[in-house]
Amino acid sequence: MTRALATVPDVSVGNVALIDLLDRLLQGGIVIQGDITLSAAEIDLVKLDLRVLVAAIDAVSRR
Amino acid sequence: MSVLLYAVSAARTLPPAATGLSGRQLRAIRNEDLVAIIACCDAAPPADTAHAWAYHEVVNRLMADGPLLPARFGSLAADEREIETMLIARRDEWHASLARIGDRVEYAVSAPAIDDEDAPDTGTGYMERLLSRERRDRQLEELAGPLVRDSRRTAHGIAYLVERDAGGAFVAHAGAAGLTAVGPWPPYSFASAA
Repeated sequence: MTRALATVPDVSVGNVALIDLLDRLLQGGIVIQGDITLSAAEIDLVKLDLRVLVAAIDAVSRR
Repeated sequence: MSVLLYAVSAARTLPPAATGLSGRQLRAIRNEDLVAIIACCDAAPPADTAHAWAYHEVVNRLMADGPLLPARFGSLAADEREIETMLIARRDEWHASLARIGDRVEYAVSAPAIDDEDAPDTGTGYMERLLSRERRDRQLEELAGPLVRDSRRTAHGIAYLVERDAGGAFVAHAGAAGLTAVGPWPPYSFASAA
């Protein structure tokens, strides 16, 4: 039985997958009680990073 | 030194060269029939997309060797003892989650991105879009029902827990319903009890 899972999705679905990734990594997963070290400010940074990236992909694809 | 938690799974041994973020060696801390997969780290990983992808790749490789509960990005414990204590204290909960998920994987069906050109400019347009999305979700649930064990709303869409071997069929059903399913993902959205 093959157990291979998808690796990083390619850029054609990159911006969709990145939103999916952050949706999972920052909101899902098991949590160590009271020990999540990402502060609200840091999560905002990730979201900002995401917006910059999506804008960059848009800019490239509209050329 | 702090430790970063990547996942919890049934007892397993890791490949000798398995590494986590920054090339740190992964280790399995065992308590009875569960292990926590961790690596030492100096501080929480920076919260940027590069580290998020890298973290995901580590968990994805671990997932290829068997079912697991992925940890939320940035789950830092003070030391190994804290992890051991947690394995004992939350044993029943994690056992139940592992049993519930089994050898299944997650697919993400996200709300379509709305860019500026595409955005509906009236309230009616917005409602129509919302209703159309709901129709598609229902259509997908009808088509793919037998393949889906569980589903949960996430911040940005719906997560479906799907038999590992049925992923291709699920993606095809989503396409037929006019939706895009992205996966397989480790079961991030199903790891906690409810």
